[in-house]
Amino acid sequence: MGYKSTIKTKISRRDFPIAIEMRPLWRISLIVIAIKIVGGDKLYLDTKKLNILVWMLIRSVNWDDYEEYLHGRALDIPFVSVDAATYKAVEFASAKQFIYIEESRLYITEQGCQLFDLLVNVQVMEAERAFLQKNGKKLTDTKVKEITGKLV
Amino acid sequence: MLGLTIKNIYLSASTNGGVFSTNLSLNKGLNIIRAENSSGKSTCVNSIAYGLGLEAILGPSRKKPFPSSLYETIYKSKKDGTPYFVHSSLVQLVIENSSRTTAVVTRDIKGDADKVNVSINGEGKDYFLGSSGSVGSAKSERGFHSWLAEFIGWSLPEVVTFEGKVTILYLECIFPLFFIEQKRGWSEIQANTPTYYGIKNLKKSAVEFCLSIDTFEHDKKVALLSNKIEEAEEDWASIVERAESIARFNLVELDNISELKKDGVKKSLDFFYAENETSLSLDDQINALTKLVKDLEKKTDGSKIDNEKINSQVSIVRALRNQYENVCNDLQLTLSSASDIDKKLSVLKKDLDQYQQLLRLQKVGSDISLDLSTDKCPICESDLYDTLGNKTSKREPMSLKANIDFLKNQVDFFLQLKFVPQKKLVNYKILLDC
Repeated sequence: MGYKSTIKTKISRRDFPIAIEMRPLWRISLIVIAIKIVGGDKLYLDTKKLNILVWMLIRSVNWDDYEEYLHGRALDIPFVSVDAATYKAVEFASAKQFIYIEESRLYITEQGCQLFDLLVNVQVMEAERAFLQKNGKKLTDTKVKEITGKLV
Repeated sequence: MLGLTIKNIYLSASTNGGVFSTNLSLNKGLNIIRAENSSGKSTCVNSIAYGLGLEAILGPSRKKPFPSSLYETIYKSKKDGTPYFVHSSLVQLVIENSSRTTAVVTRDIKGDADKVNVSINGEGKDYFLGSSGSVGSAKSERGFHSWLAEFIGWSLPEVVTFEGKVTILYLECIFPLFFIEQKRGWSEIQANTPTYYGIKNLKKSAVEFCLSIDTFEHDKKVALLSNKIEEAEEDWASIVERAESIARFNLVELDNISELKKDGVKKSLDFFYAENETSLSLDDQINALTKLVKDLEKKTDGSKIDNEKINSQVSIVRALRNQYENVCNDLQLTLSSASDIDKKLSVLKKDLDQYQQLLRLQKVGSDISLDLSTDKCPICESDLYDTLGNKTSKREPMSLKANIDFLKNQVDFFLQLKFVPQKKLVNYKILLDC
């Protein structure tokens, strides 16, 4: 033994990587596609439904389970919780006038529709849009109640 | 029935101010003690139970059946509160049995309470109370309760405990029929019968004894036999359990497992071998194996067995088997490692793809009129970090480009990592093909 070594501590101030869903523009885009695809003719969603849809969209590994549940083929209710980042993104999207809020409902604006068209044109979020097309409308108000533990 | 007469009660306390005492003579028949409150009526009555070593019948919480005036301090009078400190106290009973023998029984209250002095015709002898070693006062010759029972003329019957052991019906169990303690005593007949002896049907036995209904021998026999049956059933269950584990260990089956019944038929357990839906008794199996050994011996007769060669071949086989197991383990680890890397790569590639999509969106968005920048607050125009997370440190999140480069590096790193298990797997494949 008797071997000595010196360890130098180095504190890095390097910028840090973050997950894509924590990028504001990515989540704003998720909100826009959710309202546009699932929002129906009046182009709006209530906040709980939107929160659930965004929660599902950013967890692609669970998409099969979500699909089974939404189509009534599985009885296990998927776990969904409050995501503060989605609320921040809603405020951001509202400030940038992609959406507006009225009586707990989130409506898409003209500018939001332009963003949606742009997403389609540059082939962004194709998988997410396909998931919403297939399953979004299956998230009924009853299912929202089930998922949120009837707290609504 | 109770051939015992209490003729006199004497209580005394020696203090620093002299001896305080009281003497109470009792007549045959009914005696009524009348006095003011807290004058010592209860003390006099309790002293009977205490003097006979039977304070247990005063209730489980009455370890000290007397007031503090007999243990600690006595006051001159109710009006004069001058205290005197008790250094010893005692109770003395004069009792008489049915043969008119008189005995003076003296027991310390403060002092040696486990000893009782008995004086008959002026000749004193000490007896012990409670238990002395493994022998109790009721069973030992020098035990006070043994003496008292004999003095009264009782031959205490033997009864059975809940554990199936034989014991005597203690005096404390009988006396509640003759002595009513003033608090709990009125709640029921035999209110304070002690339960700590664990005697079965205790109250019933005490009543039967006092009424001379002699069923003790019969009850004792029944209880002992029931106990034996229980023991036999437990033994049988244990034998069956052991037989079952022997059968499991030796890959044989068990036949005829039945409950132990009172039919007098001797029980036995039979093991057998089950092969191809037929069962073979142990004897048959032994015969078959013996025959097989003989046949084999005949076959090898004359040919010399080279043990050394066999041993060396066995060593080689063992070494090869070890090698095979090591290779299997390594292969499993390598496959698992390769699978983990693949999973990680798949996630990284997906992240990278999504980041590239986002970059594309931002680029195209800036080309047209749509404002997709997220570096400034749309309300107050202050600088923002490009994240929705909490900004607890001064470090900034990477730019989109830097994040993409970071993810590319990660992908490269894991691709390099994958090279090692991949190479190993190729080598194993070549080895297998050979």
